[in-house]
Amino acid sequence: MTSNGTEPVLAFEGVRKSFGETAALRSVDLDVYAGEVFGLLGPNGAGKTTLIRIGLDILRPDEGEVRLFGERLRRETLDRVSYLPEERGLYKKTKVLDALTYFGRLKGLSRRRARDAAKHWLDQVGLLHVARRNTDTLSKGMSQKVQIAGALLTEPDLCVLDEPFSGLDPINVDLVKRLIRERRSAGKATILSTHMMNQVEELCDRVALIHAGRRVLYGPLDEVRRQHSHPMVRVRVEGQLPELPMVTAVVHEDGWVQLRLRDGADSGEVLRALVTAGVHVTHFEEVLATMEEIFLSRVRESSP
Amino acid sequence: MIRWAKVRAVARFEFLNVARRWSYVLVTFGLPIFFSALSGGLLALQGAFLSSRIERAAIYGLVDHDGVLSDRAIWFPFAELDPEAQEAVVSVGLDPDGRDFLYISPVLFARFDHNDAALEQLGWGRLAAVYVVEDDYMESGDVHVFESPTGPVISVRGATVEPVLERLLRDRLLRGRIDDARLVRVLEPLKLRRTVATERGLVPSEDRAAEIVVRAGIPFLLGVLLLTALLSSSGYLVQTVALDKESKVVEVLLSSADPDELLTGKLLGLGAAGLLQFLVWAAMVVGGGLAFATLVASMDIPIPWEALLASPLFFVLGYLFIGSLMLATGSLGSSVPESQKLTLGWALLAVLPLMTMIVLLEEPHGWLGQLLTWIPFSAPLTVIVRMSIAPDGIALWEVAGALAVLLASTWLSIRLGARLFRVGLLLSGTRPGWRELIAQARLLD
Repeated sequence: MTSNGTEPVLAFEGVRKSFGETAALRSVDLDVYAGEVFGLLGPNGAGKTTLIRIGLDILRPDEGEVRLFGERLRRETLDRVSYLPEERGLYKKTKVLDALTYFGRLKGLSRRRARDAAKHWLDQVGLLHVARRNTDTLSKGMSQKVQIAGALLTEPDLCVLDEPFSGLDPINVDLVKRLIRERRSAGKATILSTHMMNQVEELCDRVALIHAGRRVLYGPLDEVRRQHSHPMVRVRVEGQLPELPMVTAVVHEDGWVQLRLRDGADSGEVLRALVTAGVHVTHFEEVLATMEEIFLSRVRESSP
Repeated sequence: MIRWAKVRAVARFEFLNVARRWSYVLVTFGLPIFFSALSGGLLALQGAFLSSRIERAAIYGLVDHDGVLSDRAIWFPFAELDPEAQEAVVSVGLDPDGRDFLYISPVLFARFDHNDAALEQLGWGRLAAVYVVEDDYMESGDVHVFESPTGPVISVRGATVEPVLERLLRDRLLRGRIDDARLVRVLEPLKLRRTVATERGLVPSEDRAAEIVVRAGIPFLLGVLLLTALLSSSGYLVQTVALDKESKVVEVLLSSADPDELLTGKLLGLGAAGLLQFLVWAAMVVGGGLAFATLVASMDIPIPWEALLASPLFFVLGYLFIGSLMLATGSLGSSVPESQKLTLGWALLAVLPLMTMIVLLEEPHGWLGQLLTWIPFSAPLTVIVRMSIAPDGIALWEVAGALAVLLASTWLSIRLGARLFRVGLLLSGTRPGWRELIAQARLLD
């Protein structure tokens, strides 16, 4: 159960998987909830794809359990899930509309509904005009967007997007971000696997970092960033800074002042102290570590 | 549990994907027309050539040193020859003046007194060959044949001229020495009349020959059609699975449908494409051979209905069995050529019963026939052959047993195939060895 008390749409419980002598996953627990964008992070070969494949019943775990929509994983419930794999493509020499209709049919839609949905989502990604074109005549970016349309076709309750932004220009990156946010607003869950940490910070509500088959980081994005940041604030002030007992170091940089805080010190305490000292504070912000910094440090720390 | 809606979706997509290709349409409709035109044209050309050679009165030189053929009564001057024989002499440019001829249609002999004169005409191409009855013929039987170096390597002479010359010599040796009735029997000592005792009574052999042609022809035709449909469809199977990998849609497919459903859908869809192709070809063959069908129907030949009725079931199972194995092993390849190489073994196993067809036709219920009945690769064709040739020789339990083995093998091959198929689809890069594949297949579950 999550903090808000709802049942996760996807839950991994003690999932282990080995390929011969190689342990791909070592007892991983994860929950993904409705209405959230969940960032699944990790370096190459960490076990993310294996975990996703287990969640989609492409692979079976050696141990542990996967629960989908509150029940043990069944093929039938997978029709409510869609997947955009990292290694992806489209059938060559097939019309775009036919390819998408086929994917819709495989997810249990009737032919007519699948066709209508394909047209609707092609329109959503601005590609309705290529519906009758063969897939091998599309540019890389167009092909990417068609595949994203394919993943969203059934408006699934859970959508797994593995590197959805690769190959897209900034305008289309923005489009895909909008579609992901719309899913969140509609109360649907999205798992976002990406190496682009700025996208994670921008989009994800919660994250998990997998490394060497282990979950090394897990929780709400802000909490994770806060937990893995040195307490620090950045201020812009008019006048002299007073001596502050909770500050251990002061660095001046381009008109900004960075204040490194004692362990356990609260940023609000600093602001109060500054105001009390009569300092005119024009800007004040808590400095959190970036996801990229956290990613690098956690992966280095947990490397064998 | 297989979800048939997904199987239908896969089958429909795969079928349309193949059937819409222009290459498929071209092969389906164009290939039979092309081959019919080609083979028909070649056959017509050969037929016209052979018939012209046979019908034309070719001229052969005959030099008789022994005198066995010296009876003037059998030789005629040019003026007394049939017009067609005269035309032949004129057409080759042989000077007919003072020369005697012996014409036994379609063979025309021109008589020469000396070898040199005959060989000169042979050298000029006016004679097809020169036969010289040597002077010691009575003791040795020697007749020397001189041929032109530019003559045909394979000649119809052995079947036409030489039997005529042999009969002529026999006639000349015996005429007047025995009575005429005996002479006729010596010249034609054997007039065979065949009758076969069947369960339906005595059947003249000419009628049974047609029956045997039909009974042997049907399994042969069915076998060829099965293999054609199988190899054609399996070609598409191997292509589609390799294209799934090349197009990188595998994971999307596997996240939407079970490997069993994908495998079954592909088998059915591409089997239907192969079947459609086969039906078009068969319709063209039947259309072309309608006259022959009418002839067979008029002969009151018992058609092996049991075999014909059982054949679709056996062939569908046979296709599913071998097709699933092909699909599974084809999925291990990373490209179409590699997948084709991997499935070559199955194709050869499928062709195997056709290679033993001669033995099966000769002895349908012998040990080989009985053995092949129980092997799933050969069961469909073997059972149909045995049921066609001699339905009473194969027991019902054998048919039922073969069907059960085939059913079980098909189920097993689809199950194992689906597992290998899943491993194969997820593989990329270097293909692992068989041991590793089996290990991975176990690890999947």
